[in-house]
Amino acid sequence: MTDRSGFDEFVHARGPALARTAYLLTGDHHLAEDLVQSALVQAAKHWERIHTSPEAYVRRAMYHQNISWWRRRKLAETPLESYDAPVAAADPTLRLSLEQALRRLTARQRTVLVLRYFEDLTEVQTATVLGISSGAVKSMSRQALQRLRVLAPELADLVGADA
Amino acid sequence: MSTDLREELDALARTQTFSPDPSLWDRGRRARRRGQVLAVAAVLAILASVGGAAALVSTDRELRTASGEEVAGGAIPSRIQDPGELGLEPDLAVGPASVAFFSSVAQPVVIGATDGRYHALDLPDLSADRGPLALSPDGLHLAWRNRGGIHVLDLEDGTSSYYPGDDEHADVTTLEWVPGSRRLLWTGEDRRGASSGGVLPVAGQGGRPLPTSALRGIPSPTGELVAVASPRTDEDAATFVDPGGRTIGRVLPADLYPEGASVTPLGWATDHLVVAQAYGPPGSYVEGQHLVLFTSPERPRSEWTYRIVARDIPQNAVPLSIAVDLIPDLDGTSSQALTHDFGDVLAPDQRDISWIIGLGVAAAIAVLLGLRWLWRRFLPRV
Repeated sequence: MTDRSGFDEFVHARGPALARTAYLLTGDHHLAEDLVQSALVQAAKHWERIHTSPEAYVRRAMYHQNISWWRRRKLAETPLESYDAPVAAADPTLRLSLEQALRRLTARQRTVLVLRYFEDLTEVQTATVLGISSGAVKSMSRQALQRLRVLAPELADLVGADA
Repeated sequence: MSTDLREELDALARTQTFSPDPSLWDRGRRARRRGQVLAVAAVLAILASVGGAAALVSTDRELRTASGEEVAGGAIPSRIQDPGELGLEPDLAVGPASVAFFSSVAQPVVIGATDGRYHALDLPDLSADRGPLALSPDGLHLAWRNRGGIHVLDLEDGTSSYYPGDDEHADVTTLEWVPGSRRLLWTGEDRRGASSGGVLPVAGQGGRPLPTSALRGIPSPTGELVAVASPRTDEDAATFVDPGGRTIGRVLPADLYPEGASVTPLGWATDHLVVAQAYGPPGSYVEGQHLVLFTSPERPRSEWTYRIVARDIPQNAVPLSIAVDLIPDLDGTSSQALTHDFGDVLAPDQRDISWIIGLGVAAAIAVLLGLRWLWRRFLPRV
């Protein structure tokens, strides 16, 4: 199997799953598409040097790339004075409320939340992937859940009363 | 809580579709090639910077000529610089010299004949006004004076002789070597304040008897003429005096000096070739101070030659003292090199390199910032 066919096979098999994670990380379908494509280009670039898991490599690339993008966009985000205001329940469905609330988190908070509760990584694994301490993961995870409760009180049952 | 949140997140994530871009692989490979090119360019830039810096601040203190070898027998350097302030060398045994002069900071400087290196000598008993500094024609002895006392230094072994002032030379004004490097001519004043002059045998008695007119300048090896200074630039001739005391003019090339030039003889390269320091006023072919070589006027005009020996000499060191024996015999071609290019012979410890270090540091910072920018631009952290 050549490098290219191996890469194509990997993209075909794992692309959808990677795209789903990318969407949770970005909260935007177009950004998610860009994020996963960018990470896959990085994987193609270093394909010969990826000796362990290509998927782990691509996921790690997405996590860091998303935070990097967020840093560039943050000046254009929602003004701080309305940041913690409860979101108007324009859409009655829970999913949309969660989606809106996720968009109000910082990239780091959202990433920690995705890794912990969607990818099922432990605090230690999350810390390793993001290159931060376990204490920071725990702290950010708690802050993310607390903010979700503030932003969308109707999610209290979902995220727990005192998570 | 976790299970519910995971389920909700999964349901939310499934709203995302994925359509693979068929150009992903090609884009990745192009990025890889671009990164390799950048890496190679960065390595080359660093190597060039390090190599350049090493060349500039090399600590190799053994001086080499431009060709990497020393010149056997010695040569006049093609470029004579004012070195600024140098560290005074207490060891005066620096070997034969090609040029001697007082630098702009009044340090006595000699240039090594074989390696072109500059030496600022810690000469004893220098007078406050510095006075004449006379290098012998063979480059082996250096003479200077303080009032009536005359010092002669042997540059090979560092020993010096001192000839104290006496009734005849209570105050010495000029010092000139007679061709052959064995006798020193001096002029000055005696104890009563009257003009005086004489011959100082430095390396034993002997040699051709000199006429009184020899004291007016530098006698030729044959004794037929004495080359004297012609300080006025409005005259069109170098000046000589014959044994009878008559003045003879030697016409200068009008195409080189339309407005005339002043000529100060420095010695005789051969029986009939004079080495001199000329000053060309503005509008001359060579303006300012420079070294020349020309035929003395007793030769037939058909034999006359006039050569520019060195254009780049210190403009404030008037005049230089030259080891004229180092001028090679003329081979009759105008392309003959009369001097030697010793390259950049001012050693790092003899040159102010602070600006080089500053520029090097600034360049290194610029390179690092550029590499950092490239890294962040093209190689996102993964």
